[in-house]
Amino acid sequence: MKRTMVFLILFIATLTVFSVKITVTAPYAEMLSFLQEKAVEFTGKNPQVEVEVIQEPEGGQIAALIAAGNAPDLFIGVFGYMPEKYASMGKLVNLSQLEGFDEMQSRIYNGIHYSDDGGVYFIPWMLTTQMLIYNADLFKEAGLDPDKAPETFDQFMEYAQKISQLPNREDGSKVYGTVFWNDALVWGGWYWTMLSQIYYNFNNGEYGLFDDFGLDVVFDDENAHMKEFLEFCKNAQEFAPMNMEKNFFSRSIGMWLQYGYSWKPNLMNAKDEPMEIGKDVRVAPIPVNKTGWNHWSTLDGRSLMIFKSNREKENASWEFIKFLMEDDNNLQACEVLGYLPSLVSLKQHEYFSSPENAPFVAQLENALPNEAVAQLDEISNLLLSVYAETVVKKSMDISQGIDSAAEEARNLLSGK
Amino acid sequence: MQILKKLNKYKWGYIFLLPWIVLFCVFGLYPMWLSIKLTFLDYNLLEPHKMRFIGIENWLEVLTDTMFWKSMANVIYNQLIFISLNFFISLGVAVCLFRIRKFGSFFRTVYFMPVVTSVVVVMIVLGYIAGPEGPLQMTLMKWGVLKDPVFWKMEPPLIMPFLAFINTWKWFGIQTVIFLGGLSTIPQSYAEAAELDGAKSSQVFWRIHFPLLKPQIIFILVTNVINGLQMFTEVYVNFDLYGGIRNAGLTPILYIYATGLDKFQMGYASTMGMFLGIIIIILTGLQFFAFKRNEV
Repeated sequence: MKRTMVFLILFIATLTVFSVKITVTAPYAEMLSFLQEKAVEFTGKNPQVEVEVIQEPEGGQIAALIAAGNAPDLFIGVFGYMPEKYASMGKLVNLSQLEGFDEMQSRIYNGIHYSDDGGVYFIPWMLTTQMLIYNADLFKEAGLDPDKAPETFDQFMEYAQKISQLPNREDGSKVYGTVFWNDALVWGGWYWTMLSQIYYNFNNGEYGLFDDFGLDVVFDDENAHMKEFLEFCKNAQEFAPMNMEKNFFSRSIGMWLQYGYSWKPNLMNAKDEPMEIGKDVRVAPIPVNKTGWNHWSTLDGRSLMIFKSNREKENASWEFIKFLMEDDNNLQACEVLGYLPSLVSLKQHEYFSSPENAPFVAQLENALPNEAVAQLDEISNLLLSVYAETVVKKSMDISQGIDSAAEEARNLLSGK
Repeated sequence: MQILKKLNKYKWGYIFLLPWIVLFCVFGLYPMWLSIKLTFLDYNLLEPHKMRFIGIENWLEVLTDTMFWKSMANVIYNQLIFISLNFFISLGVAVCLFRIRKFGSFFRTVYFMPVVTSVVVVMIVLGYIAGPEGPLQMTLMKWGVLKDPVFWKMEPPLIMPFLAFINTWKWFGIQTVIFLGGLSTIPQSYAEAAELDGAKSSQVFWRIHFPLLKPQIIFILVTNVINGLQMFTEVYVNFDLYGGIRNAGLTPILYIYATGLDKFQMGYASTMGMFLGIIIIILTGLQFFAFKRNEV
C-alpha cells in the first residue's frame, strides 16, 4: 500500500514538473477549430505539452488579461502595428534568441521583420496580397478586351467610365465601373490597409505613411503623391456606388481594386452562381501611375507572437510555432483558412499554381508589409477621415486635408 | 445603547440585507475606491511597473481635453433630441392606450417589443432600413423627398439625431408603460368632476392628468439623463473607438473605453469616468431642484 502511494505521488510530481500547459488564442471560429485539431496532433507528439486553444476575447479584454498576468502564451494577430505595440511595452519574447530561429528564418519568404531594437517579435504564419478583380462579362459588354486589364490608373478611369455607361440590369440595378468599401471608413484604422495598395502604386512603392524609423510621417511629401491618390479616388467615386450594399459579387460592378486573397469564399456566394477566376472574373495586378512601374500590393497576414511568461511556456510555445510552420501543417492552414504560404518551399506547390492562386503568389514579389509603427492605427484613422471628407463627401480641399492630417500625425508621434 | 436596541429590533432586516450589502461593498464601493485612487496616478495597464503618482494632473487634463468635451457635446445633442421625442411620443401613446377600450393589451405588447430587442440587432436592422441603399431612403427618393441618398454615418451633424430616432423607437415602449401606470393611479372621479363642470378633454389632460403624472415625469427625466449620458453600444456598433469622422459619434463612455482599453491609460480613463459621474450627479441634482422649486 505504502509503495503504491509513493509511486503515485512520484508519478504525479513527475507529471507536474515535466508537463507544461500553453494557451493559444484564435481570432475567429474557423481558425479556432483548425488550431484545436492541430493542438491534439501536437500533444500526441509532445505529451509533456498541453495546448489549450481559446477564442480571442473581444473588446479590449486581451489588454485586461495581459495586465492581470493572464496573457495567452501564443497570440495570433495581424502584421504591423500589433506586434510593435506589444513589443514596445516589453511584453513579447524576442524570437531571434530562441533555438532554431535561424533555420526558421531561412525557410520564410518576405516576412521576417526586425524591429528597431534588433529583435524579431512575430513569425508570419500565413500571408495575403491584394489585386484588381474584374468582371469579364461586363468588360465584353462595354466593348473592352477581357484579357487586357487596365495597366495604369488613367486606363482604369476610362474603363470605369465605359462600364458605368452600360444600361441597367434586368432587375433595375445600375451598373457601376468600380466600388470602394466606404462603409469601412468609420470602422477604424485597419481599413487603411485596404486603401494603401492603391496609394503605393501612385509612388512606385517608395513611400508609405512613415519614414524608415517611424519617427515622422512622409505622406505629405510631394513625391509620395498622396494628393494624386486622393484625386484618383475622388474621380473614380463618380463611377462607384456610395457603399458596398452593391458589392463586386452582385455582378453589377466592373472592377474592384481591393480584392484580397482571403476574399475567395465570397466568389462562391456571388449573385446567381459562383464566380470563377479565369472564367467570368479575372484578377490582375493593381494599376500603376506610370507605365513600366512595378505593380505593388500590401502584404498582410497572420502573425504568431509569444507573450513573455516563463522559460518552459515560452519554449513550449516556440515548439508549437515550429510545428505550425512545418510544410504540411502550413499548407493545410493555407488551404483551410484561405491564405498564401509564408514558406519558400510551398510557393511552388501545385495548390498555389492554379489560375486562381498563382497571381496572388506571384504578387508576393512586390508586396509591402504593413508599417510596424505603434501609432499606425491612429494615424490611419486621421487619413481615413480626410478620405471621407475629400473623396466621399467632397467637402474638403485635398491639399488642406493632407496638411491637417500630417500636422495632427506629427503631434501624435511627438506625444503632444 | 439606543443604536444597539434599534439594531436588535431590526436585526432580521439587516441579516436579509447583508448579502446585498456585502456584494455592493465588494463590487461597488471597492472598485469605486480603486477608481478614485487611479485618478491620481499615471497608470498604463500594460506597464504597471511604471505607475507613478501625479497628483491632480489627470483632473486638469480632463478640463482641457477637447475630445472629452466634444464627446460631452455629442451626447448632450443626442439626448436633447432623444429625451424630448421620447417624452412626447410615449406620453401621447400612453394617453391613447389609456382611452381605448379594445386591443389595449395587444398594442401594449407590440409597443413594448422593441424594448426587449437587443440594441445591437436594432442598430444593424434599422441602420440598414434607413441606410443610403435601404428601403426608407429609396422610397423617399422615389417620392422626390430626397434628391440623393444620405450616408448618415459620414454626415457629422446627422449622426446623433439619427441615433436618437432609433433609440426613441427602441425605448418609447417602456416609458409608455410607466405613464400608463401613472394614469391608472389617478382617480377617475377627478376627470369626471371636471367634465361635469364643463372642462374639455384637453383641459382635463393638461390641468388634471399631466400635473398628477409628475412623479412619473421626474422618474423618466432623471433616469433618461443618467442612462443617456452613458450611451455606448449604439456608437460602438456603428463606429470605430473614436466615433468615426470628426469624432461625431464619440460619446464620453466610448472615449473612456478607448482610453482605457485601446491606449491602456487607466489613470486618465478613471478620471474621465469620475468626471462624468460628477456631471451626472450635478445634472440629476439640478433636475430635482427644478422640480422642487416648481412645487413651491
